[in-house]
Amino acid sequence: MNPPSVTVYVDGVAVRLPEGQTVAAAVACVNGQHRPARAGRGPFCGMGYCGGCRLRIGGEFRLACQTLLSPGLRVETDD
Amino acid sequence: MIDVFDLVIVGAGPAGLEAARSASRAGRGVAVIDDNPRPGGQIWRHDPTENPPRPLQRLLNDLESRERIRFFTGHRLVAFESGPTLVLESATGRRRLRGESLLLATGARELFLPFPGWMLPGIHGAGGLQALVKGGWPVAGRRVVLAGSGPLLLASAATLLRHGARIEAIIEQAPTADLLRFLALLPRWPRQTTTALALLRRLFRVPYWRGSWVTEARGRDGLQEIVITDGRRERVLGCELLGTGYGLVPNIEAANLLGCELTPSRHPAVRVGSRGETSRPGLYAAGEITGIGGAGRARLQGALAGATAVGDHRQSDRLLGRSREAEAYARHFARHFHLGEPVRRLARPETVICRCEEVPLDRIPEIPQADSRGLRLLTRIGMGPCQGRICLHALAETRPEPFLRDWLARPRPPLFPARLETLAGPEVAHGPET
Repeated sequence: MNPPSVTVYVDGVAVRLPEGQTVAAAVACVNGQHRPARAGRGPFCGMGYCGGCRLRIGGEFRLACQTLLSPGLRVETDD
Repeated sequence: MIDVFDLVIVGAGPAGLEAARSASRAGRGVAVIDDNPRPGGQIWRHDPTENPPRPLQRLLNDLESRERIRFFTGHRLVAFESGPTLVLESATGRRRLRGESLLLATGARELFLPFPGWMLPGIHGAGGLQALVKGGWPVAGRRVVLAGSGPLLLASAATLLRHGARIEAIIEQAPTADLLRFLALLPRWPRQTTTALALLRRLFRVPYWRGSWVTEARGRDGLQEIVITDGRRERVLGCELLGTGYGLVPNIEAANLLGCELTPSRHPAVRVGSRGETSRPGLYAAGEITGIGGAGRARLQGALAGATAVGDHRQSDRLLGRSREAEAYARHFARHFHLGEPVRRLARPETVICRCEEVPLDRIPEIPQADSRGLRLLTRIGMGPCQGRICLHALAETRPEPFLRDWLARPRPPLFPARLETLAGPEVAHGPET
């Protein structure tokens, strides 16, 4: 299985990852695991209930761990 | 507009998908909803760059060939209207569904026991870290420790190892004697034995400390080291990531909001009859929300409850006998992974219990009566984004007062933080589908 890569933008920084991976992963690739979100606490539960990874994704507040990457997606971590 | 189905299933994990297969075999119209973007639940979650687990692939192939089944993935159940009608929220708007029958297969989440430093960046749930890594979270070359209790630590370690992490240790609080007793009887359940052996083989070189637990995590901006004890000697171990979890607790919130009777256990489950019937007519439950027992039991329960929910008694009779051995495994598991006293007492007065509202242990008074409302007003505990899903279960292990029971006796919607327009807004989805 080799899904195509997509480019997304984390605080304006482009990152290229396989389609189907999560916004949480993209943010960790740009900001590092210890600073996954400047405002929030960052992912803890990894499965959508702690709310730690809530970020502005494509203009709406969504959970980064449950949002899959799509081409051109813009993520803001310092809202 | 409200979409109506013969059966609405909440949760697309092993139980929910098997229930969908049973019901669609009987020729009924089925909706399966899940807040995750893809079906499979937690146990069948997989890296998109790898093939899906075989049992999931087989189930999905089977379901794809059926006509009267619709998946609503990326849809989160946030409330009920009368009926009950389910109010769902997705990235693009809200949607309302109703079923002649409703089947809840909402699974389980991890139990966390707070300890000094557990809020540091770099610390995640053990299963949570596994889930993140399956979503592409980078761990290659990182020094990782998995600590807590139960086989999920091993499963998580195996996933992380495959993604290039350096597993420094797996730290299990259960003493060696308990683990040996667990393993000695395990061959009664061949499938679980195969899984366990495969895991142990893959983790052959990873230190597995039994009867030990993490008492503290330290670091400046993020995790740098942890303190481990076996109750006698302390040891400091450097690591960048820690996955912690002390087993699983059922996700009962939706069932509780609908008034389903719960079991009297410390972390209540939904009480069901032998075919998945809850105390509410037309309402069924299957899988981990009826008690922690693993994927095999969840699949059986799902198939059974799904058939029962659409009135296919021939199918449901055939499955009934097979569910007993699965029940026995659940009991065997619970007996040997019970939590010892020390891990319940790791929090210091200043240790945060409620992560969302940052409420430390010493701000939570010892209230003799089970007054969760008073506690909430006084401290804001349980009032943040997770709505008590983490802290109330931690508190149920830490303090003897039955806060959790009282809290559950007064359920309030919404089930999750939701947009106002979801609860009160236009009925159809807005904007383009993404």
